[in-house]
Amino acid sequence: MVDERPFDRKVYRARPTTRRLRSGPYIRYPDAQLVVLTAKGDTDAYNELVERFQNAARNRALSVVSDFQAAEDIAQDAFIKAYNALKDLEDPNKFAGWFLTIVHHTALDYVRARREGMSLETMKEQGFEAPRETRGEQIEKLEEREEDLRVLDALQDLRDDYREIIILKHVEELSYKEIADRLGMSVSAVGEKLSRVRALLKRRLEKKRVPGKAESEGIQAEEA
Amino acid sequence: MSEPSQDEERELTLSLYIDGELDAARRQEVEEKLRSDPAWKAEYEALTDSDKRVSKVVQDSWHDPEFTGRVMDRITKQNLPPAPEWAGSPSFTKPLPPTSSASPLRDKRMRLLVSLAAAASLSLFGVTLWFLFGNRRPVSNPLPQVLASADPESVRLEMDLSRFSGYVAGNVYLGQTVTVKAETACVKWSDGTRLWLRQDAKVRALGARSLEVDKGVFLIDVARGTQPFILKLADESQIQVLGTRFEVEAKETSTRIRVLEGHVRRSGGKAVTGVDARGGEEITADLQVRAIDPREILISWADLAATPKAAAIGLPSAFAAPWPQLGGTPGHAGVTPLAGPAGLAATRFIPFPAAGGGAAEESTQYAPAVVGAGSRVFVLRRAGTGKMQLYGLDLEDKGDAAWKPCGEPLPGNAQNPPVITARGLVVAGASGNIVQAWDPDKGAVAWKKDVESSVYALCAAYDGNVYCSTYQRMIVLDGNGEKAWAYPNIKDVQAPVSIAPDGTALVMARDGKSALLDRDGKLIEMLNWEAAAAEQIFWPPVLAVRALAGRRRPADPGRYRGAREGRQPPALRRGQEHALPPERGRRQA
Repeated sequence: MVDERPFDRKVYRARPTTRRLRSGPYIRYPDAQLVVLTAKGDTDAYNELVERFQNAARNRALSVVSDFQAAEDIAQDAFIKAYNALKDLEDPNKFAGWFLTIVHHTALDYVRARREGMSLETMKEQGFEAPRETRGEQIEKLEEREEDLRVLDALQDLRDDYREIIILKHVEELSYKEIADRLGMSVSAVGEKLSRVRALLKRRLEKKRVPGKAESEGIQAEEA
Repeated sequence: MSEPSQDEERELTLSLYIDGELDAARRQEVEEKLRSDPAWKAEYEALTDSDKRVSKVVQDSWHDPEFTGRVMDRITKQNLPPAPEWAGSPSFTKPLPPTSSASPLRDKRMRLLVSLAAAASLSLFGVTLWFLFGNRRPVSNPLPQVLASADPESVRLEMDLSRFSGYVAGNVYLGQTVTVKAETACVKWSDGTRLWLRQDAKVRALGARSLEVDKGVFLIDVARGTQPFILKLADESQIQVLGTRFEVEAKETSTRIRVLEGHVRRSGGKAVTGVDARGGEEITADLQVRAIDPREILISWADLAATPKAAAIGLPSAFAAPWPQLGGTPGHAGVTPLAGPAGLAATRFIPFPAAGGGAAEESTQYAPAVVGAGSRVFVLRRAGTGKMQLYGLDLEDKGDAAWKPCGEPLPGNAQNPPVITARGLVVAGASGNIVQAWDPDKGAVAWKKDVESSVYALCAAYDGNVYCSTYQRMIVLDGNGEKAWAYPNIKDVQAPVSIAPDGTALVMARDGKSALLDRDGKLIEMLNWEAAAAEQIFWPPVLAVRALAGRRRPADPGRYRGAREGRQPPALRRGQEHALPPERGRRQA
């Protein structure tokens, strides 16, 4: 199997991006609700959780195994374990921390099974506990989330080619030259296109931005 | 292709500058402009701000569909739905198996009305539970929301959702106890389940289909879901409901369950082996099963239907059933299934006052008395020539009980009694075109309306409307005496209308010509029953209320049988359909 490193530009140069921005009605749901819906048998809700947490899962696994493909496999296994173990989750709000703990342990199991030369003593057994948020932080988090959803809406409204170039720039962090090679354009055309997309997003986000408390429909701050 | 504008040139340059794609000379030029030109600086700041936000969101929001697909494929192949404990006990995921019963329901499409009353303290509270026969679609958003409440008074609702957190639409903050002060609060789930609560009601949501009943009086309209609805009572027993309607009256030490329709099982606590009850049956506190009349439950919630705001929240249609027709007023329904007193004995004789102070005028046109809420009785009797007077009597006035006039006399004659609305207004009408509403609490006339035609009979509906049978038309007045609607194509209606639980009204003229009208006065169907000159319709037809016995179909307003003058309508028996469709163009046999 080819050892593909994440963000290895030489490897990814010749491949079109498979990455996509999350979309659909579930992107607006908080994690806890998705967990609840999953428990009711709504697999689309778990699909959203997989999309939402896969990067975090990969990164968490990568911090243990340093191998991208292995991290992918570990992340997959962790999602399956989490799905089957949902009944052990007492509080749906704590899904993120609970799931990443599963990822971490799955990664450790992977290492132990393959005996990669890391001794157990040198591995850091880090538990992952979601920090307790203050009310102010909760409100701030909601505001931030609301802001993120607005940005996501603006991104969803873009043409496919505009969205793709954004992903190549901000996710795969390719240079203009690399983007040009990937998309079969000239470098100057890449520059012009990115400039157009930036200006477009700037104008859209300027219109949508609402200062102050998040008062989007359905999202309310929790009282202390 | 047009030349780029100055703004576009600037945007492009700044974009290249942000991405580090400018050579050294150009970069220096841009930096000089950023220092000296405010427009450039503002544009730069706006672009970088937007870029940062986009970058953050994009990095957080991208996913690899192939990865997602692989994970979901593995999950699908497992075919193993998780069932966390906090979503309901797995032991209640199976439907109730059929058990023997004294009165098995013949119609499988049944609805149970069960009112549930739970009391945490020694005082008795009533809880009404009503499950509609809703659809089977899976719950998409199981979280409840509190709708706009009715007039804010002192009703307190505490709903502890601390075990059920997540996203919610509406006014409810999840993860905490919510207190709502309202006369009538309504909590609504997106799956269609609704909960109306009275003063001091307290209920705790354990999950999407699970409630812990602490205390209070509330009505629950549970939509049919993929999982049974569980109610946990204070006595540690529980009730499993599968799209049925039943009433539970739970005290601290005892619980009574009354079933209107459907099937319910009491288990746990003392009912270790499980006790079943079906429509028209009751599980008593000592776990005995006996027959009951479930229509009493509707009466106790009649005021909800009469409150405009509460009605606007959305009430089950059966609560729009006419009152007091379902309450068993003999003059309207012909027979009451409610159990009467064991023995009747005259205890007091209270004469009517004479008009003008003289001897009471004998009259052969007394309208029967109507018993109002509590101890008050009202009667409409002649008071001189061409006048009718409403009199009221409070039976609790033991010492000086006397008939007292209520309002001014009504012009004309009246051959039908006054009616009492769900809000407690006593409404009377006479042939002098006037309809008058008397408020016994205030001791004053609430409203008076000239309907411009002789009023022959009245009928009070649950929603507070008064149906006035007049010579010229059928006219409906709302609770404030304003005209709600009128239907002019039926004339000379001597009998009160008959109203089905879904609001359909059967209007029958003296000659037998009849019309089915919906709750807004729109014609559903005209029924051409003919009456011979010697046989005229003065009494309302009897409705066989199919909604209680079977599944209600919107297109089918029900079947009716008319009662001719002098004939006694048949007794309404549960579970049986004894009404026949009217035969058009022929007399009813």
